[in-house]
Amino acid sequence: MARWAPPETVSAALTGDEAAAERLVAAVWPGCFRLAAAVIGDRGLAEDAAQEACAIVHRKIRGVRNAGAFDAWLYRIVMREAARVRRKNAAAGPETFERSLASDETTALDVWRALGDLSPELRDVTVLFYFDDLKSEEIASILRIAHPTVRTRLARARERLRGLLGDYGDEPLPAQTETKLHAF
Amino acid sequence: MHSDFSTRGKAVRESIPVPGLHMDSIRSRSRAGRARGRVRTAVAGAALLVAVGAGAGVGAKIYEGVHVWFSGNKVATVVHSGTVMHHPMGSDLRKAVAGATFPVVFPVGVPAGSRIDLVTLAPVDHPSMISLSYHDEKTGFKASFALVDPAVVSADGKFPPGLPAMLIRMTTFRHWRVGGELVAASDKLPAADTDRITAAMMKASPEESLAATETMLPRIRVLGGTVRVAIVEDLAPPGPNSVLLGEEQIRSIPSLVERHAPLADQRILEATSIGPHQGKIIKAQVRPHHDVAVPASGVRAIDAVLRSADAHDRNDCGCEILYYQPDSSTYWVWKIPLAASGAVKKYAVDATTFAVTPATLQ
Repeated sequence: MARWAPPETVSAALTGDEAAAERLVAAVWPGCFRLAAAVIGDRGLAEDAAQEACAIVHRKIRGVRNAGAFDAWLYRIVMREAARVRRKNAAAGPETFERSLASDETTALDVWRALGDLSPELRDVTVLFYFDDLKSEEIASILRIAHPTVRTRLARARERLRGLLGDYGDEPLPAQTETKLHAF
Repeated sequence: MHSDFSTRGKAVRESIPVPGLHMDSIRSRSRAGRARGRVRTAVAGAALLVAVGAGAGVGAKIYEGVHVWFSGNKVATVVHSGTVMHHPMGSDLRKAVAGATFPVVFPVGVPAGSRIDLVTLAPVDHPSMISLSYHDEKTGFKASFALVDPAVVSADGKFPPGLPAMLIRMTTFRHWRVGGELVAASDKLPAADTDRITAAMMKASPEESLAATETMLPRIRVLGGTVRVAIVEDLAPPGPNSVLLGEEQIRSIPSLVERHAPLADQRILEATSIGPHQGKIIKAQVRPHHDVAVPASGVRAIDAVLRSADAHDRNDCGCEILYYQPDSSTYWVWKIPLAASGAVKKYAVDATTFAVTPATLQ
């Protein structure tokens, strides 16, 4: 699982020191924002979700049992806040996925277009699996859904992506990715 | 496709420009979240408490403030706004009930030694419902009472259509009428206690009941979730200038010192737009009061004591802190150990140099 922050920064914050908690928030902020942006597709909403996630880190870090549990805990918080913001926004109107989050480069447009055409459920598992290199078991734990459900969603997402990103389809799969795909 | 999508996706995500981090906003959201948690607990508790007697029927009209329906052994409560007071002082309670919509007679005859640590009022401006939680550390006595204006009670045996199921409770209550108010208490309260309290309330005037209730409230400003109030109250002069800090406040001291900020009094919270959310939790807009409990210079004095050679760990002193400023040149800070075997220590802090000197306990 990815490292949100250096272990020593996490360990210091676990002691309950307020200044250490703020250093931890500063360290995880970019990752929180980028993950929220990838699954929400809107910079403003992503900032809202990431800020709330960081506020929860600031408020509850003392309750985390050890530094090893921090990464999964924070993934769960960011994904939950992203889902909350997305739900809130959906109530206000139809969902829009910002297709130029990064730049106007063709690659970026292709990636955001692909994500934007996925449903939120498929987008969540896709981002965690392909961008964060999480295993399907870890994704199931983070999203609090059954492991088979993750695998089904990834399979559906892969079908959609194959159609959307056909230009990239001829490249061979590296060993690591093959292993992941076999996990389906 | 997959490896390429993964590689490109990671690169694209890493290229997303990240906006600046506004730590003030994070702190503010963090405080609001803490307050929401407290309100959720308190409001849920208050909603559980309320029962009705023979009140005025008002049909299915939902009041803007608070309304209670009774049907068989089920009780439904709708609360749109409320005030939650943790460790209220006498002045807080007097101010709160001054605008009540009914003549408030507080419970009288509650076992001696009981203390009140939580009071909720609804709605915010002119309370029609007041609930109080009593406990006695020594005897283990616990009781909660709700005092309700009969005008906000419907006892026609029907719930209004469309009332969310989450608001309907199966809990049973004892309830009785005292003058112009309905009193409800959990049926876990022994019948002998209920009878004694009912009889005492019948004889007491609103003013007499308020005076009796004030003796069960903290005489100092209690910010922390401490259970040692009765011991601490004898150390410092009574009044809001004597401030007791718990673990949460002590942990915030280094950050406050860094920002030259005072310690805020957030014992009192106002919740508005309360309602069910997604069928299972209570959602509310929460606004904690932000009175200054300890000025920035006093915070620095507390920090000086926590940093002193006597204190082994600034962030985990294993203590609670009592603060008082007797005059413009001195602060008094007491370290009250959490361990029962530990001794209370008092320090005098110079208001100019912040030098810490052990002082004699009175």
